[in-house]
Amino acid sequence: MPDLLAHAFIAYAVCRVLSWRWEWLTTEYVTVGMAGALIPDITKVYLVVPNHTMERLLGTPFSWYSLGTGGGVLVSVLIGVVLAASEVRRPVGVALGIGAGSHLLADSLLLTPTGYSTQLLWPLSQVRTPSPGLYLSTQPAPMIVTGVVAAGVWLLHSRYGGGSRPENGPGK
Amino acid sequence: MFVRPNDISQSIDVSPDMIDSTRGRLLAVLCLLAVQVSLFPLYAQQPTDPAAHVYPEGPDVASDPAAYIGERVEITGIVQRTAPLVVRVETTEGSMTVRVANHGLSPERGAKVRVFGTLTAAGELRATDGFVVPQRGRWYAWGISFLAGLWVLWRLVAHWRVKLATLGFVPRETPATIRTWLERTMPGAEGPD
Repeated sequence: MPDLLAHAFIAYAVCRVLSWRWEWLTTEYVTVGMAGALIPDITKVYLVVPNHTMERLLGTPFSWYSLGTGGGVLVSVLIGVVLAASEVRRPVGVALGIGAGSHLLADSLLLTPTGYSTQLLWPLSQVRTPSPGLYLSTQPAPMIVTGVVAAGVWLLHSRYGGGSRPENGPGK
Repeated sequence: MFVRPNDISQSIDVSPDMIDSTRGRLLAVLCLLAVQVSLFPLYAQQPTDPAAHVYPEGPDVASDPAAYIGERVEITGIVQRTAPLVVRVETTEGSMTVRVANHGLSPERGAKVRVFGTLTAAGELRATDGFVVPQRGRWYAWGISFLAGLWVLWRLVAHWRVKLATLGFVPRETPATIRTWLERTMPGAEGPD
């Protein structure tokens, strides 16, 4: 991953630009998209309770990493969908999906020693996506770049696209 | 391309009310959590498959180093010694050290390194690729990620509320702000726009 702030910036920018076209994607759903962008990193629970600690505890092979695969993320998104009231379930699902998808895509660009990163199709397929190795999660550069883009989108939106007239947004 | 939330929910075929009661919602969440939990051992047991770029990792190697000699493996470890480079890999049984040759890296002690290469002997790796994750970078990533979590959590609380009758999340009519809270607790304060 780039750090979570970069992921939140990316989700904000993507959802905000989409909101210029989709009237239903209001600020509330932009927030849901940003929450969706945090979902794949639930897998980072391994930093608190390492896999090997869980294995010793349960006596069975165990890995938190499934939470960062396509299948694990889908199940997490569905939990979010179920938590939403029925009348808003579909837009919540779409927004969560956009956020989580943007996270998985950004992670697919990460530097790994093997040159391959996320398992987007697991458990259907083990294949890892080839990664150009653009950055490490511990570098601030992705956060700064995405932050500047998000700030630009926010400025455009508050100047031209805000409030009740999304049709006036610059994203035609 | 252009749909309102109401239009969308009307097009759902399955009766949405089924999981819009407290009990139905909790049951559905429990079922999904069960699926999620079942994926943990499934992932841990996935076979290595170089064709899919799934290689044996540190804990596999550490549990039976001799079995992986000659194979390509991916190892993440904390630097114990720098010359020669020795990293510590955590496993269920404890920890194991691996000597890394041909790495071209200059990490400090305590840094995390991720290397990919061939195991030439039990506990010895000839690296073909790898990089260093400095300790300071890890602190940065944790700190900034924590702030991002707080920011998104705040936005969620400001924009969404829970319907107590069904435990379902719905958007607030007006976003909660610190000012509205202040107004509620101190009646004389200025109201929101």
